[in-house]
Amino acid sequence: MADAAHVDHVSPLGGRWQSFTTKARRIGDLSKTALKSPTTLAGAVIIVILIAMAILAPLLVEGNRPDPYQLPRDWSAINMPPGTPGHPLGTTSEGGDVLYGVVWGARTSLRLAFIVVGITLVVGTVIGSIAGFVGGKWDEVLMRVVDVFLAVPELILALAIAALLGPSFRNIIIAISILGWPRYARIIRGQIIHTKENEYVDAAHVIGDSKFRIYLKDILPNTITPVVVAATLQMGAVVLFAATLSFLGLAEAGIAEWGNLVGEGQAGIVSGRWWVATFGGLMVFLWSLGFNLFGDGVRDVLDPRTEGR
Amino acid sequence: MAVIRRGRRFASIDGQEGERRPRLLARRPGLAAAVLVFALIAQACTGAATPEEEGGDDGGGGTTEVKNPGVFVHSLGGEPETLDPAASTDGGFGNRAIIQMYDFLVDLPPDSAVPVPMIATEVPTQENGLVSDDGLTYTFPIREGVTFHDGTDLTADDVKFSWDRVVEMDLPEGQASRLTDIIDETRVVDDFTFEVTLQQPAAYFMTTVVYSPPAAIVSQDAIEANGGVVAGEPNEYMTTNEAGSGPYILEEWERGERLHFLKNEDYWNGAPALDARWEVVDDESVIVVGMQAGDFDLVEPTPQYVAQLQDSDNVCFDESGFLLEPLHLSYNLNIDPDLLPNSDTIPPDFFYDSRVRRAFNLAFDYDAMVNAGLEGFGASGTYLPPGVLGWSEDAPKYEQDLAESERLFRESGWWDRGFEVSVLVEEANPTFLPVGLILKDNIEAMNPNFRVNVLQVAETQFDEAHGQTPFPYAMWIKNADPFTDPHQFMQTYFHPDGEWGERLGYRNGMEDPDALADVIDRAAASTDVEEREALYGEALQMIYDDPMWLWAADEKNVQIYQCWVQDFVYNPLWIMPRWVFYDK
Amino acid sequence: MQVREYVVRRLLKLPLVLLAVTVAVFALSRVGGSPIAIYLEHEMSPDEVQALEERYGVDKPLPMQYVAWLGGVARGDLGWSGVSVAPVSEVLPARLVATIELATLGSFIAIALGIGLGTYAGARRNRFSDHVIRVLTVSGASLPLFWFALMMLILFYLIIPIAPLGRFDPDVYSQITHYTGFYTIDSLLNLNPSAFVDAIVHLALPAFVLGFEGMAVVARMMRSSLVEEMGEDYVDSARAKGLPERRVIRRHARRNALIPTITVIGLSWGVLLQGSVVVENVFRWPGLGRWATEGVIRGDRATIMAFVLVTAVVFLVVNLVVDVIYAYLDRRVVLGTD
Repeated sequence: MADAAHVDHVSPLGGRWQSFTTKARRIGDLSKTALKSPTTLAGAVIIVILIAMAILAPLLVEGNRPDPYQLPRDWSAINMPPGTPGHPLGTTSEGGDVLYGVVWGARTSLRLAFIVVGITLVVGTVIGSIAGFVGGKWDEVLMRVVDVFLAVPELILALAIAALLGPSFRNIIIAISILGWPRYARIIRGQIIHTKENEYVDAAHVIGDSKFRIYLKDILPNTITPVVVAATLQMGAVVLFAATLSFLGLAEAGIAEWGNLVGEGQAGIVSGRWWVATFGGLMVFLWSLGFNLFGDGVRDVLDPRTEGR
Repeated sequence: MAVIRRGRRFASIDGQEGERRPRLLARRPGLAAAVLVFALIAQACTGAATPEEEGGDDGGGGTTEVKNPGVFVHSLGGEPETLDPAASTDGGFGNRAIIQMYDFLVDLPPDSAVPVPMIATEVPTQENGLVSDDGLTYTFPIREGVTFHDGTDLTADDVKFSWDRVVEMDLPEGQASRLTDIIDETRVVDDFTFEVTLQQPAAYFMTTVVYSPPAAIVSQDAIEANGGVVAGEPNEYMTTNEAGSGPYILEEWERGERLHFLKNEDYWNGAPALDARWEVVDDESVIVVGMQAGDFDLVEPTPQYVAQLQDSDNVCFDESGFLLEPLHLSYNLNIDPDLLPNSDTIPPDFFYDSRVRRAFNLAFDYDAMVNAGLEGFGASGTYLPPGVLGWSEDAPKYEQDLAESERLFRESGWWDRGFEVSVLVEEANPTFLPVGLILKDNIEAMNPNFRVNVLQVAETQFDEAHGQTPFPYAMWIKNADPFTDPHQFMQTYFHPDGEWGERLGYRNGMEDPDALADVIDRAAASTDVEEREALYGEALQMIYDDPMWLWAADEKNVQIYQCWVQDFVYNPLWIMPRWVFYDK
Repeated sequence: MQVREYVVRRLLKLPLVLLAVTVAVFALSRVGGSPIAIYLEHEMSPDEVQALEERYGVDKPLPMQYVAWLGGVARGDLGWSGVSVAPVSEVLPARLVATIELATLGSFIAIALGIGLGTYAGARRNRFSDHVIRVLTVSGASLPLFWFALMMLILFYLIIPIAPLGRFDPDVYSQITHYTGFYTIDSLLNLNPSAFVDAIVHLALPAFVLGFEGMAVVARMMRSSLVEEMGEDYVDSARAKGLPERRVIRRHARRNALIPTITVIGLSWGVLLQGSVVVENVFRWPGLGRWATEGVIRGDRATIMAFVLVTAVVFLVVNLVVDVIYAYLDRRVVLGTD
């Protein structure tokens, strides 16, 4: 088995020579196959639950005013253990309600994931397209830039960027987005270069299709599968990354975010206050696990040649 | 990055050289696990021994085995930025080392705020004639027979040299202004008589200037042999060495880890009982754990961790007073609207109206700050910290009164208009942050049109903003610099022409600034304690009626020490506990 | 020949990348506020600020500042750390050494347990133990390191109090002479067994936590390559020859499976480096990661810069070494195929 770049890769979702209904049916089949694996199904279930929690948050726990993304604080009830009336999961050292943090933290995470994946996908696609399509010097330069990004471990770069911008959750989003686009750029570029060599593209060229049309109808659809896989996995990874950064103290105090909860709860562990850190971190774990399991399953089905036995 | 190539393989079974054998533990993962488990069990056995030995103690050196006998181990959250009295920063750790290694003309004893003789054999006063009638000239008779650590004798020349040196070097980071603000001239009358002339009479001279780190007495010979005095430049030798006469001699400084001090056997006032070690531990959790295990003799953690040590048997508490660093929130009357964050909607004259300032003061939940923000280790207060001359239990102080606050907001017209304003605070500071959050929660709960944004920035960014004029935000939260004399507080924080008075534009909004200025000036000039007390009482009332600050709380000064430490004494007016007094 | 060329090319690229990193780091430090902010106090007058600026040379044009800074770095002067209140060059070695000690033991654990578990699972493909280990490794990849670390702390510090905090017991630590800065090595050099035990005992839990994620990655890779190897012909012939299964796996299949695993081991170093930031924070380990986080929170430019610089260098060097090793192995493998 040779490595992925040289394989005659035919995307299960195909290029232009498939009608829309065929494609739709294929997606349905693939999904069913994917969900046959118990681990993938488990992942999907977890994701659905968490996303539901995020969307239904205002119904589950009343939003804080004026800013629902701030933990409601009760200064007369600090460091309360779980089971305290009014605070089923306990409170932080500022009287912040942990249950609120858990539920609305899902919402924060969903927003974060969508925003970051959205931005990096678009930016990465654009840059990767330029590199792969235009090629030549542009390709060289852009790929060197990607290399520089990959030269230093992510977390360390993120720390440096956050130091520059100042501590706030918005800046965490910015920092992660800055670091996230190279992945997509690489994928898109790889697909473009590969697909360029594919037969039916030559055929299309022969019959006189413009380059851009080829791009839209042949290249881009073929990039969907690895991008979908990457995006799914990234939804999980991004939340984990953001949580790590807020845990380290790079977000504002008192926001309804899981990593922040863990960070605020850390100091109390030495004196036996386990609940803030435990529940906050548990949510991050579940989110990450869900997307990893599901993403692995999707990858197994869509991209069977890459890892995952 | 290397690409993984599958499917290539080593050849046949008949052996190929090359592939190095996996390591010992890789072949036997069980062995690796066993080592780990063994290590953890070993810890359980060794770790269990120490804490179990604690018995009940009553400070009289009970049944516990004393750790580190002969050495006083003090754990602090930082290390000195310099050891040079001419360069130590106000509030930095350098001062703490300086008070252990150097002597001063006068001293503050453990149990009083009245100075006593140290290198001077008498404290100059008008009664004993050592202060001139006009109150400007102080004469200090110098003790004979005092030697520096390098063996040379201490004379009046050294005193003059020490003080002049600070003024001449005039380092921006140092505290030269403490001397230059009030001293006119220093003079050596003879080997053992030293004279100082002030620019104007000042009752606070003794406690604020004479007993302060920049006035430490250094050895002229030692310094002239090591770089001398160069205006505007730090002395490299003195940064990491000392030239003092005090009870402790610097033995070794392991940067970032600890400082070793030896007791001065030839100390003029009698050698201390113990050597000393300053352990640099910037981690509160480690400090707590170390205290419980008996590794440290004295620590000073933040209130949140103090609460955690309350259950330890071997640990004793000294709550002798309050930190002279009240937590406060400022109001900016010198706002440049272009500098404010875009989200702020307030006009530059927002805080001109004293009703607005009073409304903020009344909205704040002071009890929550003490109970939750400081976990009980504090008290809400008047505008002077407890223990300082002029403070009294009966002085007016703010308490939460939401109804009155609402009334004031309505009267000043802001109730319906609403506002959004930002407060600047240092990130991750466990005592400053609650001030902002409590204010935010209370104000925002009052009225949905009110928004308070607590802006958290890195420490250096905060310091930078804090040093700018005009200050680029509407409010900030910090603790006050520690002062021993009420005049310093008054002049720095409340006088309309004082440091903050000018920078924050008090005169833009104070109803009667001159009246307050007059009271403060008179109190500074007076040398009569009772008169000063009365005047400061007046000042406090004026400040209460037209407040320029929100005074959030006074932190309790809790010293936590091992019960085996004997003779623990502490004066809150000291910069930190002085080892010379302790034994164990 | 090919390999040598490759190595030389990589070596030549390294200084260029390093230079680019220094430029980036320097740029980061100059953007957004005064670089001498940590020296400023609020009482300073504009003149005093000016004096400080002159003293630290920040009033000169940027390229000159960069050159001066770079020159300082070459001489070992990395500025003043506000976090440690000392020159960076004085505190960096101690913190670096602490992190290296932790990361080394962590990678040791990751490799040892990873290879061991991966082999175990691969040999018993699709049986119960395999599934268990697979679940473990997937969880390992999803587990937030900071949460895992805290859970371990709760478990082994609160519930079963056997794990200590920090790197050493101050009593024991101050009794030995520190030749290298590595607590384990120094205690052996001092012939002090209780110090050695103290070192190991403090290292045990943080190193395990740190190595856990790497272990999951290595185990996963080891397992899948072993499974692949087991499907090859020579394994069947070995079995036919009557060799015991264990020997087949140990001697032959595993060796081959190790090749791709080695790359993963190299990649997991990056994981470890990042992980140390979190682990040091949770276990209060006085290493580089914790020093840097505090620098970030307090806005201490010199500390952050030094951290990024050092980590980038270490990371690049390690990657280079791994790639070179792999290139050598690969070549032999290529030669051996036909």
